[in-house]
Amino acid sequence: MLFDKILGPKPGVANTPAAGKALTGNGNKYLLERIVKWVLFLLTTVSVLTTVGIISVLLFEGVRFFASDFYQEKRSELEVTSEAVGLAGADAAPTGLAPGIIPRIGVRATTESLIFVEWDRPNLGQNPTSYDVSIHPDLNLDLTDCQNLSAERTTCVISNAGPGRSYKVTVAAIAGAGKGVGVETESFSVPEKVRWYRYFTDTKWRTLLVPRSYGIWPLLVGTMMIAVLAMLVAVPLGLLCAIFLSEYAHPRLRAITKPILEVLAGIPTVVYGFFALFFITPLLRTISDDVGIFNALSAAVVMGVMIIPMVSSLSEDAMRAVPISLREGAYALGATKVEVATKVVVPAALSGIVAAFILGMSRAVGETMIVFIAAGQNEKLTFNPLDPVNTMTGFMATTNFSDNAIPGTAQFQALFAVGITLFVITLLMNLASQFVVSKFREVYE
Amino acid sequence: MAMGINQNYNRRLSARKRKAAIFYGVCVAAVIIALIMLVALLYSVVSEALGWYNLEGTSIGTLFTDGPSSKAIKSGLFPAIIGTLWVMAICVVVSFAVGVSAAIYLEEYSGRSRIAEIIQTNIQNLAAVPSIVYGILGLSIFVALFALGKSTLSAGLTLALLIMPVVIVSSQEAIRAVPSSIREGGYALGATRWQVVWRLVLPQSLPGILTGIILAVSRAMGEAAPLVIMGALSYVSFAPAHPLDRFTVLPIQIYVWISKPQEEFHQLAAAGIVVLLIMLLGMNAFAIFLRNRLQRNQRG
Repeated sequence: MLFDKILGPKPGVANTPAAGKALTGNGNKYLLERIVKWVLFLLTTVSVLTTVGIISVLLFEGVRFFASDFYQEKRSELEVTSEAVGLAGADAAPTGLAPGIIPRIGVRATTESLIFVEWDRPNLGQNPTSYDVSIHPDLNLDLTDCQNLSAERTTCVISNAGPGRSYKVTVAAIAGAGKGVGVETESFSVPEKVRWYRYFTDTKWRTLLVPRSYGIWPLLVGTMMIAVLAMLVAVPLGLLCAIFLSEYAHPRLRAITKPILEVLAGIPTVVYGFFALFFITPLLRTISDDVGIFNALSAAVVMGVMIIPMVSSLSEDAMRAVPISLREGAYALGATKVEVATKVVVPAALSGIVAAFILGMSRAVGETMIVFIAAGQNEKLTFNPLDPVNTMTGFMATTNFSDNAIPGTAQFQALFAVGITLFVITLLMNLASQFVVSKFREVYE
Repeated sequence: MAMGINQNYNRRLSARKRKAAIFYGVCVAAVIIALIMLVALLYSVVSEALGWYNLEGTSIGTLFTDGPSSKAIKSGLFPAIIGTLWVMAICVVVSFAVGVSAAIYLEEYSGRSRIAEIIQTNIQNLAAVPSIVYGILGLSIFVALFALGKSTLSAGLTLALLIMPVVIVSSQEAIRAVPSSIREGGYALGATRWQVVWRLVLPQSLPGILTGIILAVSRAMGEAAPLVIMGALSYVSFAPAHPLDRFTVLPIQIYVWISKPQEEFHQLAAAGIVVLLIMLLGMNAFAIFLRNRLQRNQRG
């Protein structure tokens, strides 16, 4: 029976035939047992469902992000030139004609194959009789696609432009023979189709403003910079605290110090953000004028403080697992306390300590509120910790800030793409720490 | 010659002893730096909160009875506190039901089956998933798919999933701490497995389970990131009346005040932080009280 396989042997004493027979006489009790077991099993699967849910939710939108053709607008120079040309021998004075007959044109390029050229019909009592639209370099412009949106506006669709190239479009309004011509020129760039790999190769992250760009590097560099700086604070302090608690502190002192240190781990991250913005940053700014109001350094320092108890208690656990006999052996050879700590205990507990570092790093990578508050949400690629930066988590938090992420847009899907990146990085770190523990642990009898 | 070696040894010994003393000093300094950071954090919060208290027109009463307002001195935490209580109530009920059931199943029923092993590994990995990713889960599943909206129910369920791995692991530890002789005694009297669990194991392990849940919930209470992703960062000036109401919670309200440009709002945020920290302290004290009771029971 499959059910029996899933649920293991039947409950209680029901494994022997005799007992089973005895239980059938008490059918309700046995049924209750089965039901309870099923309910417990189903509730246990919630944890598996959560994992499945996280992965499928991330993939569902994230795959759309990587598969969809979205277009990266290039910033067109938007040089608009217009002129009114009075034809020779015309009875109408060019001066009176000039402002009204110049068509105001706009070019909207939505994809590489759909470019809308729109212009207003000048309304001066002398309606232009015809328009002359030309594009340089020459495209086979199909003017039959032109349609009048309203009395004042005409749209032409160009469907054969080359991606990534710049063009100039000129619209000349001709107001009857011998009357006058108004010409306007605008240059535009055809948007480029962005393929999935640009996420890994582009160095700009701009989701709100055109030209949009979805290159993960600024966020990744910001995340890693803050995480590494945080670990520069947390690793030495955490490790030294662990050595103190495990090797030096009297049990009574340890009983006081350890809970106080662990208070640091229980403080909400929004409070750490407050601390970074209103205490550490002003402190740093008194030291150097280069420090911005929002900067990576103060967020990183505070994040490091937050991670100290995690690194310290995990490392301490590893060190306390080192048998006392190893220490006593070293002391018997005349070693001093520092030699025992750094040359015997730490190497013996190294796998656990390294695992603690990796887990601390993974915590730093996934931390949101400190960065969100104090690091400045600046999506420029920078390696300077005194500059404002943004991290992957920071971007994810900003995206839903004012409901500007509408499902279906590339910006909304980018949230999930970044989520996948973050999930994969933290998962790999977690697996790495498990691997280090299982592979390199020294086992003592 | 022997004299020379001895001198050399003595010189090196004193150098080694000096090194040991310095290293001890460095270790103590590290602990002190960490403690100083804690003190500095509390100092910065309390001094700003006192700044709020000393502002003209503020009172601790209105802080608890009023909603957020455009003026810092008139703003209060009432909707945020009620929102937090709603979210935490849902979170406690769900994480207790799911977490304890899973712990019972894994400890008492599953044995060492392959499925149990997979679930155990899965729980371990879930615990390391960043909280903001749970926000994405909540946004897609509870807010959008189940159409619960930006409600206390969505938030409570999301936070329950967030703390579920912690609850399961701590409950498992509490259940494992029950001596097996108690179970065997039950079986010897002819009790079924569920009778043993319900009447013997659970009462014994309940204080430990509750301690773990309280500590986990106090983590959920300070959590803001998943709720930000779920769109809880909107202006809410009313306390939620039912589980599907829009809401705000303490950490979110504190964040909103931190991000305002005016100094008074920063001081107000500090006052909010003091309230949040006191609530967390209360919960932790309760957990410690339970743990002590558990230890006394076990000794007795």
